[in-house]
Formats: sequence, C-alpha cells, structure tokens
Amino acid sequence: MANRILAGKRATGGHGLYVSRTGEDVLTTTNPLAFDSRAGNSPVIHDAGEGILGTTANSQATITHNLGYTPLFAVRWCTQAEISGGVATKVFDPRYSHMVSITYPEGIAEIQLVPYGIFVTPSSSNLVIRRFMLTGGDSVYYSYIIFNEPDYTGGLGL
Amino acid sequence: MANRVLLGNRATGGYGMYVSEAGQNVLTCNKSKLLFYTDSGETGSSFVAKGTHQAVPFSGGTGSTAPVTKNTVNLSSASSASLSYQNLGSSNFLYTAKNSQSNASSSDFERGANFSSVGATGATINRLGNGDTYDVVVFKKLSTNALY
Repeated sequence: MANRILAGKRATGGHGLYVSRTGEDVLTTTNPLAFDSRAGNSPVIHDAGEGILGTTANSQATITHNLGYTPLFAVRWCTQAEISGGVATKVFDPRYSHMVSITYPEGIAEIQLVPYGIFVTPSSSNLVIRRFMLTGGDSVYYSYIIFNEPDYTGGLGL
Repeated sequence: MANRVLLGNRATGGYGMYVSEAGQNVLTCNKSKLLFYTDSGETGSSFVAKGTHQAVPFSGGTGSTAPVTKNTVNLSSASSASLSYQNLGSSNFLYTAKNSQSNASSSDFERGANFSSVGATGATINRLGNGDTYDVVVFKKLSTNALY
C-alpha cells in the first residue's frame, strides 16, 4: 500500500501537509496531489470525469450528482483535432461558439450562426452536457468537474 | 463538539484521512458530509473523494505569507502578458472569465483570452478581440492523464 499522507518535510515542497491520490506514494509522486498545504483556498470536488459525445445532433451525457442543489461546475471540451497522446492540447469553455460567413454559389453572402460547441445545463440532481452541432462532423471530447460548492456563476460554471 | 478530523481506520472507508463538516461526526457521518477524505478509487455519483481543485498561488503560500490566488491582468493595450506563479509542480490549468462574451461588436466576434506555454511556474495569457482586464486563477489538474 502506498504512503498516502505526509505531515512533515517533503523533498519537493518542504514542510507541510500532503495527501496523494490512491495508488500514489505521497513522498515521491510527481502527479497532482489530492491535498497540498502550499495551495490556496480551493473548492472541494464532488465528482470528475470525461467522455465523448458522438456525431449525432444534440447527443448528450447526463452526469448524476444528487447533491440536492445546483453545484458549481467546470466543463471544457475539444474535438479529435485537439487531442494528442490522449491529452487535449487546446480546450474550449461551454460559452464558445462562432459565426461564419457563407457565400452561396449565387454570390449571395450571408452570416449564419453555425452550431458548434456544447450546452451545459446544471440542476440539483445532474449535469447535462449536450453537443451543439449538426449531425456528422466532429465528436466532442468533454471533461467535467462538479464541486461541492453551490453554483455562484448563474449556471455558467468556471 | 463533534469529532472533525480522523487519521486512521474509519468503519466506512478504511484507513485514511477524513475531515467532516462542522457539526458532523467524522466517524459516522455520511460521505456527503465529509469536506475531505483520501480516496480509494471510488467511482459513482454519490461520493466526495477527489480532494480539492487546488488553487496555485501567484505569490505567498509559504512561511507566514498568505497565498494570493487571483491575478487581475490588464490587457487593455497589450495583446498578451506573462504570468508567474508558485511552483507546485507541472500539470496546471488556468481559468479566466469573460470568454466569448455576448457584447462583441459586429467587427469583433471573438472575445476572451486563452493561455499558452503553460508550465510549472508560468504561462502566457493572450487576449482575443478588444482590450479588457481578466481575472485569472491557476488550478492543478486532477491527473496527468486527464483530458485537461
């Protein structure tokens, strides 16, 4: 069983209280710690995860948290083009969308809002992440963190 | 006064470190009433086991100096700026507000800021669109294998 808790002097970080994640040796791990007394005041995580939404229009994931209130959350997303080695090289927040100018063969230019992104809808029982794109095209790779703190962003998230 | 901190063997959860909310007995309370505990790799939707989303201080956090975890960056004229923060290891993720605001003018659809060259002790914030100020917070990633 790995050393999980250190109250004392750590080779990297000096004196403090350190807690590693399951399977990680708190003395030597270079992976992020579950708790590090050098950090500032930090929100407590209730749940975290990631997934992929397929290419059908409005495909969605429902993450149940059952907190009984709408929690603070953070969601980021990207497409396959931004993935390298299983890690995102670039991510977007849920408010990202863009507009494009389309010039039809007849020479008529038109500005359209092309759905490209995601919607995130938090509630007291779950977090719904919905792909906001046309059918086909890119799959959406998403990551989320649900915090214990009640939402204070008006549903926008971090 | 309720037992608030347990270092040892908990009837539910086993050996670890547990901290309960005020008024909750750390020995017996529901997991949802724990502020913190050492996770054992649980999966599911009714647990509190991932620790904290640690805020990396821009300054302080050592000795008797309080940590400063928010940095307001003025990019009214410059298009980018360098950020420096304390070294709590690599795998950092930076947040800012004001991304993709709806008040973009017709000639400036892109708003907000992004980050590049994110390292253990610093990053670059890049403004998109018009000049603005940005509140920035640095967090540790949850895992080096996470999507972000």
